[in-house]
Amino acid sequence: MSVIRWDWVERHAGDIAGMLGQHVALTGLALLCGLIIAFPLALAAVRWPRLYSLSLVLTGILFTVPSLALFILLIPFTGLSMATSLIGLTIYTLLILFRNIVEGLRGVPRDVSEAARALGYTRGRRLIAVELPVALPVIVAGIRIAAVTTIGLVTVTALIGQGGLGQLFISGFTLHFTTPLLVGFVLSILLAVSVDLLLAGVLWWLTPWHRGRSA
Amino acid sequence: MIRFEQVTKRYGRHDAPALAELDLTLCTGELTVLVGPSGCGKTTTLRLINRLEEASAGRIIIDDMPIDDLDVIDLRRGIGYVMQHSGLFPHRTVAENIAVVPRLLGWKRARIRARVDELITLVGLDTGLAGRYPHQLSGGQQQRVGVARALAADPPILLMDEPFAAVDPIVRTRLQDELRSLQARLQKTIVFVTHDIDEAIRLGDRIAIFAEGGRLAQYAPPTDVLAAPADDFVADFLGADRDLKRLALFSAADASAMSPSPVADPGTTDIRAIAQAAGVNWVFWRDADGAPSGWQYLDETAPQAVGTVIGPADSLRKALGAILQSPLGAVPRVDAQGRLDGVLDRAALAAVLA
Repeated sequence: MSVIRWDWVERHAGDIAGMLGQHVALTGLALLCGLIIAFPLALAAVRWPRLYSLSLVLTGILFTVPSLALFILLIPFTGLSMATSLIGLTIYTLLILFRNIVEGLRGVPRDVSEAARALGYTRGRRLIAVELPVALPVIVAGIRIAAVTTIGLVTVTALIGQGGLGQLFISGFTLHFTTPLLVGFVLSILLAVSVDLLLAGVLWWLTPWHRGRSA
Repeated sequence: MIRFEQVTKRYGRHDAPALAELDLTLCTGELTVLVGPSGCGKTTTLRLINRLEEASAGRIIIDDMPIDDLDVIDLRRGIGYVMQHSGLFPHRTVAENIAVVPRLLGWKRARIRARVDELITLVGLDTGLAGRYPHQLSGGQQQRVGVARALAADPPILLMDEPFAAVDPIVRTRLQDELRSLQARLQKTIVFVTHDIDEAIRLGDRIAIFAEGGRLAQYAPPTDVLAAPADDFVADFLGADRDLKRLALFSAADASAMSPSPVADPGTTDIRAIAQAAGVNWVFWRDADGAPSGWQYLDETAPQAVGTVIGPADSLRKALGAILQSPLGAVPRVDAQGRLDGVLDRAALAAVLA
């Protein structure tokens, strides 16, 4: 008996593609929501350092909540829905993104932002044209970690009826059938690796000035 | 003209002032150096001018306009700023860094490109560096780019905050020389902060010496400061070799040569009379063209090689070095055509300092 039954894979190719699509969509949406929330929080935290330590503690506590428990806690409010998994996943991306955006902005050399002030940049333009681009390598590093983490976490949401490729694990375990397990396993790893490489490529393309330097 | 009127700056409400009731007028087209030990308020003074810091009391007036009446962004775009660690934008190329202020001011693309090319040459950079990123440049090159960026929109005022402190001494001296020749051409109103008194003396048309607590101890041209320190603090700050520093500011042409002059022309038979008239036991020989050809003790029969010759533009500090190395305690001075026009000894230099 072979480890993998290709005929099963062929018959379910459409379903698998759908799950892969949902996996990508959940990951992408969670990252997007995470960025939209983390960004203004990070800007505020850079402005008021006391807020930063407070938010680190809060996001840190959130991060220690086991993922499954968090999803189950949300069910009474949002049910077994896409929203439930999305809220849970977003919370996890938040800490990583928040911390990296703050560290990225704080890592902008003082003389660089000082020079921007002295040359007559307005506050907004200084942020967009100078500080964010200089912080970009650290921010993108955070997005990469958050993306890979989220791709792993999405499988857990299969337990509340979502889960993209995670559904393959459920059916594999329920049916004592290794093929879906292997397909889910390989595809989620491939997805994580390619998203990570893609983001690294995007960073490389966006930051010609950063090439050949250690990050 | 930049005028400080009773300007005080405190960082905390209860802190001692970083700058105390400063009255100071910086002249248009001059290079003024603010110098003093760390924590004396010199950098604060500089940063008040483009409102990187706001004064706690008093006011600052540029060309009859109190700077508080100006829009802070317009004010800053109209004042060049060079800092210690270049402050170049790491994500922008050399050309893009230089173009920063013209772009903020909305110049046309072609005009910016032409100005960038002009500036790269002006500050002595290779045009091939235009596409490089700052981390690919040496410290000296980065500072040059910093100067070019500050000059980009041709501002009448240039603020320089210890711009050469982080580069090695040889490069620093070269950058100082270049700044002087640049200033001779551009005639900007430059405010230059340093903690290095030698740099202040080399560069400044006037120097303002600050003491701890933000007190202006003396404000005068370097020669005046060296000749007459206002108080013990200034004298201490100038150092024990103050007279040597003063000598460096005079050229050989400023000194009166020994008179009568112990110099013999070709065909002279009685060198003894010449030497004795000058009160020495030697003479310098001049050849038919008037150039110094050697020197001779009275009790020797042949002249010796002439040794170091001081030109009219050489500093008296260099002349003193040559005098100390000469067995005669004197050096020949030549004019611009290379003709021996006098002999300098220690007394001649002391007379300049007196």
